[in-house]
Amino acid sequence: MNKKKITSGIFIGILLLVSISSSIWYIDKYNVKPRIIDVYGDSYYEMGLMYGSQVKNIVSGIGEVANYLEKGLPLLNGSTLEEIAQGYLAYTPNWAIQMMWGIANSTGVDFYDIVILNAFADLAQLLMLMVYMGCSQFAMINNTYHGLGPIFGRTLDYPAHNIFDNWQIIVRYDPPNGNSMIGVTIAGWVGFLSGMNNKGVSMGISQISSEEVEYGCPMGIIITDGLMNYNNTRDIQQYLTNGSISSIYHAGAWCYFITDKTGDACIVEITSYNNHTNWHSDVSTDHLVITNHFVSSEMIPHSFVPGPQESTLYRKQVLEEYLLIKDNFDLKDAVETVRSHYDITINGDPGQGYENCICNDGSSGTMHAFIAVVAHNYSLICLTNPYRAPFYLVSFTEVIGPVA
Amino acid sequence: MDLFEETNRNLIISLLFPILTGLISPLITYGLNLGIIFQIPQYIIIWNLCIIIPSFIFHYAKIRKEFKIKRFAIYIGYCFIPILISNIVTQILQIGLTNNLNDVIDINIIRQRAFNVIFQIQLFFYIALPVIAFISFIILTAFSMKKVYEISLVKSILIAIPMTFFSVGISYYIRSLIGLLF
Repeated sequence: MNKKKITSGIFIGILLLVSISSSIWYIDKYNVKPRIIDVYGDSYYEMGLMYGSQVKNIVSGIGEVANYLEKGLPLLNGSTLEEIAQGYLAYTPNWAIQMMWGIANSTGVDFYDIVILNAFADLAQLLMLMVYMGCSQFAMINNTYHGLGPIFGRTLDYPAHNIFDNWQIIVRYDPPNGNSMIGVTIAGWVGFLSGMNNKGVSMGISQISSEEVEYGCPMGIIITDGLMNYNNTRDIQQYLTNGSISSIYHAGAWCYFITDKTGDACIVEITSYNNHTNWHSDVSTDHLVITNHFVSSEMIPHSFVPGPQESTLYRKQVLEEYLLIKDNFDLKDAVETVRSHYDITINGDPGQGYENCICNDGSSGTMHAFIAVVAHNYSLICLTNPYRAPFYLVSFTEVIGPVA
Repeated sequence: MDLFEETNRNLIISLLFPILTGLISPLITYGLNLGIIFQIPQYIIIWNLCIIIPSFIFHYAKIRKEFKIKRFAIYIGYCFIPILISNIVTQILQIGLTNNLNDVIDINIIRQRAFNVIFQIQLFFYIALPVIAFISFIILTAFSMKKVYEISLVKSILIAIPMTFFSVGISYYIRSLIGLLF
């Protein structure tokens, strides 16, 4: 009888352990405060050391995964990982190289693995590993709530999002030279996926499928470089397209979305060889939208696929014809927009998250949502699928939340 | 009226719960339209797997049990009640929580609203309710197995935990596949 009681007790204990562990994991997943790090220093190397020391466990874990991938990845013409890394390093600004050295030394991960991590998205394009994406980016320029100013919003969608979203962090940079920045990125990246600076400029990125990709500067580093050194949309656009820094040669095919507090916004479509800019001032709408295909007729021929994937067109249409058609668009509307599962192909919302939706759970699921309130120097960030998790307000000096 | 009596009527009533669980979130958010039916298959798949897996385990186990699929299906249907309640309440809560950013710009006001006691309580339940519902589902499933197949509670809990995780995981990927097909 006693033996039965002990056995029952053990099994009830297992149940409690599983329940409590699962609960803690679930709740902790949505508590992003531990994943916000501040990075500053007298040199970029020091910044890298500080960065790496705060995310050592995550980066070490990524480093281990990279080691497994290294054995299985079809490398380019028999190149080693070090040779591939050198290919990207040749075009990377010195401040970023210094930071990557700092991260490597503080995390114990090999420097070239850190470089490959930072160039991962561009390398995936080069290896033709990922073709169809689900990111949506928009800016509400006019018709926002009185005094709010322009709002930039985006969802970032990527395959294997269930893995990658655990590696995401929010970084606040205060560099020795340049603007302070807030960005969402992957731990170990010196660049951003989405970001803003303290001069009222925000930037985001969408991937395009194109064969016009080569070694160049990784896109995340380009975003950070632009936000760090320039104070408005026009200057960043010039930086992206004229190569005012001689080493800025774009590696992959991307759409950069730039918005500033004056309401100047543009989409810069880029491959390694070509580029085109679409200015908001050239369209007669309150908003600007881009998904995952080239908009300009000049750039469409440079896309890998014959035409845009249907889901990218649907998402663009959902934004332009439904979600952004609102008077006095405020922060609540912005959050609802990035949470939207609206799918026009079936005339309503399936409650699901397919690739036709802004926020989706499909094969390329939503990893984070970023809303930049550029005129007021703060952002609203959700570091996982925004349909399932709350938003935090992140400014340059504080973190509040959850707020929605 | 015995809700758990092995009749077709009771089976249909109990099946309504997983169907309603699938419908309710999009219904609250976007209203009545044809698209909301795409949510149903995920919960029907969970319902099916939670019935089939234990039934086959017990039927082919060392001490064989008789197939009692119909009776067990009725019990499993009612196990969805906590998830149904959670889906209703969290959806309403999400709408309420988002209203916190309605017509506001100033960080100080946003901060004030975020620290409001009612907002904090809503937030707690928004995060905690799915967890509570999921654990309740596991426990209720275990009790159903105990009741129908007359096994010990300990054994039923040990089967219910992995079975639930497996069913939810499989249903998630089939849901994605349905999305890709359309």
